[in-house]
Amino acid sequence: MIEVRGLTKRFGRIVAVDDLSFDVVPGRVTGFLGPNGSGKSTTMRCMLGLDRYERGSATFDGKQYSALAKPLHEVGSLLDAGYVHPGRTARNHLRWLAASNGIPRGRVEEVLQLVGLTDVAKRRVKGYSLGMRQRLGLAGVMLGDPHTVILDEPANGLDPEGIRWIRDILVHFAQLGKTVLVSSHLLSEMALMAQDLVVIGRGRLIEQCSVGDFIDRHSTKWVHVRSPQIDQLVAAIGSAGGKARRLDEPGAAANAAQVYDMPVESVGELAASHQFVLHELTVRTESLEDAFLTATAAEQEYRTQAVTP
Amino acid sequence: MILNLRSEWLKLRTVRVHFVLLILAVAFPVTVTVLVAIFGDDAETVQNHELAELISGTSVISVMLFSAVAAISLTSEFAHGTIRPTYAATPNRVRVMIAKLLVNSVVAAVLSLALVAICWVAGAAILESRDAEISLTMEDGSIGALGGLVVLAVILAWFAFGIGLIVRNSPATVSILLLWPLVAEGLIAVVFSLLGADGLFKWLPYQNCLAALAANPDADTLGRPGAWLWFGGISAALVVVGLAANLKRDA
Repeated sequence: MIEVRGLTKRFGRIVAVDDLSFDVVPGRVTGFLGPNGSGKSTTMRCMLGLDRYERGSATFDGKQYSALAKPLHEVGSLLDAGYVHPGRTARNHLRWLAASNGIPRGRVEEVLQLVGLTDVAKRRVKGYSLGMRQRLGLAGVMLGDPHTVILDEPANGLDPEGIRWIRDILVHFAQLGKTVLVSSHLLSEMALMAQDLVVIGRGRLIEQCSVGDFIDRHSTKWVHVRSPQIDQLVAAIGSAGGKARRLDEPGAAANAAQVYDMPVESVGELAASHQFVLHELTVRTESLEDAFLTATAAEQEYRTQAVTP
Repeated sequence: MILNLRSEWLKLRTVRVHFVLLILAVAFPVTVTVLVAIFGDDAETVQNHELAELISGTSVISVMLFSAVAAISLTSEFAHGTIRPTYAATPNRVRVMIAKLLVNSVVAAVLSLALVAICWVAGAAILESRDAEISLTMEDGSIGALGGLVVLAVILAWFAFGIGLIVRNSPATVSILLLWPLVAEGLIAVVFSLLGADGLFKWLPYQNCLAALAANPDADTLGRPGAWLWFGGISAALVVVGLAANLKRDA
């Protein structure tokens, strides 16, 4: 289990991480979300003792990272796939890592095989694509078979197969009872693999909860309905106290409407009572991405302007 | 500590540029010694200490290259970000750096010893074939001159490492390593000279160590042990300052 308490890190006058506290529990994948510049990477570096912080603590099963004698056996981390000497081969990169923690050389070959780099292990890393470097970084994470895994944007640069592989392996780690903390900008991926979320903005905790609770709290739900008598149905819903809006923008489904403030059952019963034909009746929810944007709207460090055609 | 030494040794020997620099460093004085022994005039009159001074003089470039390798092996960790997985694997930063320093010191000592031995054996063999009488003795300062080179190699490795720890940038560190003896101490010597303080020359650490490479160092220098202690002390102090700074800084 990871416990972060009151973590505070400054860069000069800028408070990068501000009294941040959260927990990451074993057996679940915890997503670490925040807008650019919100302090996710800094927090991870502080947790691993790489950046010096002013106040607070970060412990792994009750122990500070600096107190771990052979950390690779307990915490595997990948903060940036670029942290590799370009002139060194993948095998040699893993060998020095393994040697520092007394991990046998045979394990290097095992993890190379696990990440699919055995055939190119003799090649120097400067010839690797970003995706290959991510795989090499993940091999380093797995070297010591740690019970805790910390990954910063592990899917960066990976192809769809690689992204799915990352997802599967992290879910597998969690199923094995490992503690998994992973940051990613790919919110659709996060929605598929994470059970819990830690959301930060400007270095402060915005929310820690399950993915489901987060989406429930920060997103809108509606009933999507399609019917050949859509205008009559919209009118009936209005008369019954609901809010319905016929979709007429380009690209929208034909004869469709969005219904708010009325349960899906009521919409169905209303249609039945008026003998309207229904072609579709579904509950729709905004995505994790929409919920994330809503939750962090006030905490965006860098704002973009809407693109107008 | 053994694990860290093994890890740092692996790091050092698995980057090609380190090998290239080390091979160049060994090859240069060997080539010069062999060429001078083959083509030098009056070979039969060459004495032990002259061969020793030829080797130690030309090998200064080599020990500077050894120190450049020590500096690059450290600063490239910061340049490529590998210092982060290094510290993530071993959170005890001092232990990591001491291991790295020891590995570089041993490499510098062993290679400088090897190059001195190769140069001496090759030079002596060629000169003896040209009727010179060469033998390694303590009396004429030959061993002191050659041994001084090995000591200088280790001191320069520490010097480079200390500067590298403070600067954490490869080009800047290597520039300082080159400019210190060639420019900085030269300028200081000019200032001393203008002030009429010639007696202070002996406190220029690098120049003193170079002077100690002579078979019989001048009387107005600190002498061999004094030069080693002075420059070694400065280098050790730089390492200590670098280690302290390294503990406080973000990786």
